[in-house]
Amino acid sequence: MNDVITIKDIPKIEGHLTVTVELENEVVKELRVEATEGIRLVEEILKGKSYREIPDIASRMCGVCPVIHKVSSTQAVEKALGIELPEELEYLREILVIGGHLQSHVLHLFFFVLPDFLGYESVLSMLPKYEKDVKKALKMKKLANIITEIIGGRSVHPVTPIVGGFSTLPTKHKLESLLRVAKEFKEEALEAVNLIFSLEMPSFERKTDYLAVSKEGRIPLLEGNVTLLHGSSFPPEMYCDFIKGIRVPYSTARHYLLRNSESSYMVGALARINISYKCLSDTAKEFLKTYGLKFPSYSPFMNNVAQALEIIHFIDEAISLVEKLIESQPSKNRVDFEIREGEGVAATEAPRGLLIHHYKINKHGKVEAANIITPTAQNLRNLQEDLKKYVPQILNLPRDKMTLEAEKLVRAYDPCVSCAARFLKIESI
Amino acid sequence: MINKKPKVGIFSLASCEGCIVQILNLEDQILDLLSKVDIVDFRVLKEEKEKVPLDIAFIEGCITSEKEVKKVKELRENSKILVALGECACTGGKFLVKDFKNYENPLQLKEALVNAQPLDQYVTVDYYLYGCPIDKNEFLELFKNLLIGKTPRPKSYNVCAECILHEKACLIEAGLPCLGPIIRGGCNAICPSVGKECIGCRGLAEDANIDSLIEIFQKHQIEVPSFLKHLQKLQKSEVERR
Repeated sequence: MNDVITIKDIPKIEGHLTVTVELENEVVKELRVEATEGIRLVEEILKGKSYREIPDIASRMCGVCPVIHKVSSTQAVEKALGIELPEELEYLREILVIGGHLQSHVLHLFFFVLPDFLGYESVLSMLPKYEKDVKKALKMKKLANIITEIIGGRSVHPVTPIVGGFSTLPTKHKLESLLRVAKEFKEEALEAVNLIFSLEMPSFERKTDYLAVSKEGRIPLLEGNVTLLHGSSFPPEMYCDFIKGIRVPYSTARHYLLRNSESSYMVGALARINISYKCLSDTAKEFLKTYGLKFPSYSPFMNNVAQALEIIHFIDEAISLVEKLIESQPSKNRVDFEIREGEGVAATEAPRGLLIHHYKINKHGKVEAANIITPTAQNLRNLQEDLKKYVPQILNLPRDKMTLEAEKLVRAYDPCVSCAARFLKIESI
Repeated sequence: MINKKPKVGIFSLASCEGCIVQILNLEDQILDLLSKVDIVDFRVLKEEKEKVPLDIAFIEGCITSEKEVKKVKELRENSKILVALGECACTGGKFLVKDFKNYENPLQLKEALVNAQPLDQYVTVDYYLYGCPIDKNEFLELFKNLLIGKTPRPKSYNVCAECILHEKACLIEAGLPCLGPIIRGGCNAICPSVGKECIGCRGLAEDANIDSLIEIFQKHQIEVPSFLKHLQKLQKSEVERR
């Protein structure tokens, strides 16, 4: 008997994603992860625009992780123009980006993931019993947004990052309140993450490869080489030699494969932690011990756990960076530069994983070519492979239970389809 | 609408979803807000239920396919009040130029329209919340007004009118391509007040004089930004439409 299961427009994720499973005699014959988000062709919009307009447009790739898109596009343009920032301005960018990550992780874990595992339809229906926890999560979300706002001026599409630095710097007074906010966040987080660590993740593993930016001794977000868990490491400029995008007829977002092995890979918190878990902060490492967590892990569900660890790690990182800045404030908000012809690639870590912004700029400062590779687009093929293995395991469950379990796996990836769906003509940049 | 819980849906078309994130960013008010209404559809938080008639539909994003045209028409028929959320829904997001007709239409997307369209190209919109993203407090204000059955007044002043209150030096005089003089206010000059030029995400203010701003830019040797060129096109097509 043939049957088709369609999980259409999966709720509690960003953007529109549909999973279609074709069954033949109760065996999975075909399984597709379909990005059905409307197309927005951001790279095409960027062409011909002035270098100074790029960050404003690129930020609109995604309203959930606009901070990292704004900063990465700024960084790529700066590389093309040969601009180098003083250390203090780099710190400020890093804290800004951490604010975005914390906000995104809190939203995903406490508002999308938690209801699934506690057996509620939504965070709204969780309210009567878990009011204290929901309010705590909202408070953390708010504090994370304040971190972004103090530096960026606004949390969704921050305004202050510009090519060459910032339009305005926070005053010392503002930095001091930033420190208080960060410490308050940490206090709340230390308790809240226990709820995530105590969830029982479904037992499912599939060996795959992981890709993230890494640097000796740190878990970097804005610098470093791109590293494969099972293999080599390469500078951002060489990304085309290592990964390739392919177009699939059923998706408005491209799929990505490792060029050599033609196999899928995963990016995101789990990739970062799998590759750099030794560099977690001391407080984050204590959670590893308390909950007996082991990395590298090959369970995509552990992406949730990795995000919770990152909440602790990155708030520690933010606190130490703000302290450094209070001691030694940046002397000026931007560096001077000349417009020149050039090409720049930024490889950074978005909340959902490796993000690449690549621009070619002509001598008039206008964009000739652009390429943006988002984490969710890179994850789609790996998610599809995971589902192909996972769905047969849960096929004997009642249909609604099975659907929920499949959705849980999709949500563990924290997909953000609005970023991923841009379906452009392949440019050879 | 005072005596019963109004049924509300929040929907998303082609967009970055930043406007919905702005709603979720009302951390201090959102629980109270949601308790005053019956949220029947909000995919980012919960599963879509069967279609029920709505009192208010909030829609973010622009229309890029026939499928989305159908969805918006259905929502209009199904809702007493329809609110366009953010620049994409209000103007098609054209200040970021979502004009696809010059580009090769990807073969697999046969349904795609050649142009990103605002909601009012296909349906009547009752209220517009401008901005990219929307201002969360403006959303709150509109939401409260609708709950008590009041009609909020649109803002008639430009961005400069609010910028002046921050007592900051004029960015145009500093050589930046700030669009503040011709753009609809209401954002509390969030960009120019931190030294970043206005890029025009709230659309043209009433009686915006684009030509005069271009003249001022030329006088200050400021390159006319692409955002302005497209607002100009938008104004032209608006005039032709009338």
